[in-house]
Amino acid sequence: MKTELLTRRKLFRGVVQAGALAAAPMIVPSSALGLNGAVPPSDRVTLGGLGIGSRGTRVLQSFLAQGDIQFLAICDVRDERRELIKSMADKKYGNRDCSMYSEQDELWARKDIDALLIATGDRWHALLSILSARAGKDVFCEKPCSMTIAESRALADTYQRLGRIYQAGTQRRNGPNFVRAYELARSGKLGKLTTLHAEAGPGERWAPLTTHDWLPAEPEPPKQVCDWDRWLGPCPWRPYNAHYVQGRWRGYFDFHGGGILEWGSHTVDLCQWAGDVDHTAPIEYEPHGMGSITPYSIHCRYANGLKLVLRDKGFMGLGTCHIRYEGDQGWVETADSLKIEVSENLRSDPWTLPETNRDATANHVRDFVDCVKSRKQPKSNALAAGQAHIASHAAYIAFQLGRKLTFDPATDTFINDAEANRMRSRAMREPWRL
Amino acid sequence: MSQQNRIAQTTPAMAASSAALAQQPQPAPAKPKPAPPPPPMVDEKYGSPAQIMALPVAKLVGILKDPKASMYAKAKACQQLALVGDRSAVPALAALLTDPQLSHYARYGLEPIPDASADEALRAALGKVQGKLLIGVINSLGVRRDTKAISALGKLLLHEDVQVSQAADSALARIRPPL
Repeated sequence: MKTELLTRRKLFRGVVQAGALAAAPMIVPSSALGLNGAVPPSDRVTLGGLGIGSRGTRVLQSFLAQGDIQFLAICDVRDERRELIKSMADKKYGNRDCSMYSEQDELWARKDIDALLIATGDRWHALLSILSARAGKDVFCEKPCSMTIAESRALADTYQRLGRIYQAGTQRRNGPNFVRAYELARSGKLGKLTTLHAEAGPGERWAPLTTHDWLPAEPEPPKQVCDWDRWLGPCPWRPYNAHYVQGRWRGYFDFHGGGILEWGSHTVDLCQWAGDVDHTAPIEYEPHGMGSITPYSIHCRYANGLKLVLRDKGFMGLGTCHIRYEGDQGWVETADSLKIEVSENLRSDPWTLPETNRDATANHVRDFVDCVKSRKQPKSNALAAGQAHIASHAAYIAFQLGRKLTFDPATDTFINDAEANRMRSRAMREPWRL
Repeated sequence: MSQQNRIAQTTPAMAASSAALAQQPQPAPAKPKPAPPPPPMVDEKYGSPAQIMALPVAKLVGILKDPKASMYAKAKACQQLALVGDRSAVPALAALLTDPQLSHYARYGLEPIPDASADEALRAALGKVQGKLLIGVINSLGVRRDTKAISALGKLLLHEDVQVSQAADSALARIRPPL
């Protein structure tokens, strides 16, 4: 399949070759030929950024550390963020070339940009990812990747149909300890898998239920300082308050999925991967602990009998974002400390943390860049991410309703529950649509 | 003791130690804790969002019809009607489709209501709104896959506003059965 990326590269090579023939002697910078360890421009992936906040900056640093990435432009609704990211890129390259935009259409119009890093708030993730794919871009998008089941499905379908490359920012799929746990689960060393445990965001930090409150209105800043209408994007309008745009938008229903989506987007995703159920979602969701912020849990079951327990407490204290895989012959548990605990019978099979490539985010970025070039699916591709988010949203809906739900993953429909089905999508503010 | 004297008393070892210390990365100063958010808005007449959203359908409809109700109260009533609204809520929601501030909230409430009257309300609004509001109504008809809207949306393919035309095309792509 011909892609715009390949066409651009071929064009560049063609121009260089034609130029060499027509205008000898021609001086080509050594860096452009890949000498001295530099990557020739024809092998570089060109990148733009959409809404780079604190987490996005961390991911962008990993991108900038790749020798075959060239960051060309930033788009953000806030001028201070635009300036900050531009200065970061310009400092890296020793020039003033990073372009700044306030509207995403300008970024999409840049035919010289192959891929985008999307790190806005959650409210924009799915829509921007879909529109970027339609604009011919590959996408690395932060998590949670969607606000609803409908967005999750549209995300997966769009990337399947268009053949673009998508990597969700669920970097633990490329974290060495999580990979080790996955290998134990998939190699059969745990026996037949029985229960997967996924840590949900701790209730005291991110309550499982979000609020419909509005903060009091404050004067809107000038559009060039902060474009509030575009910050809201597809969400319902509400009056401006600086708290939201300063990164404190979490906990509000219109912008955030609470603790279940905040960490479930990582840990449910890891469980789906380990359980070889990346293509589907559980068929039952039974919430526990409603009425308080912690402890809480949602007990889920897949069609093949495998169980998934999403809970915010009761793990072994190995860091944040625990997962635990249990089989009939053993178990493994790990989290962000990189430590792994295993059942007694598996301790004779020691595992050592590798000396290099420990940084899951750096590995995940590298995986994406390699896949942009090879056109192979990265680990956190749109289908896997979409299904993990559908499972997380279904769990969130069960918790909001406070009752057990049954779900048909083939049609993304709750069975015999009209109210739950109404919660699968939200009308987008005009003019936005999926 | 003067500053000069104090420096003079510093031993070479101490100076070396201080220099080494100065070259070490210093811990970043603790970030000031962000100010807590201000108390959320409360509607004078209808209370907090939680109170509004606990009301039965008839009361929620009453808020939409209340000319003195705030935009805040009406917005929250629409969002709750998206979950619990039925045929009885459709006229009140439909009346807001032409309101520039509340048209989206009206669609938010109407879009999931499992009754044909919601389709009829959206179809009727096609002739009453322009610009972005029209695009929103078209989008909602597409989400609802309203086959009775095919003819009206077909005409909108020729609308002079390209964004309206594109919205109609997108809606038709969702509604039309595959060949």
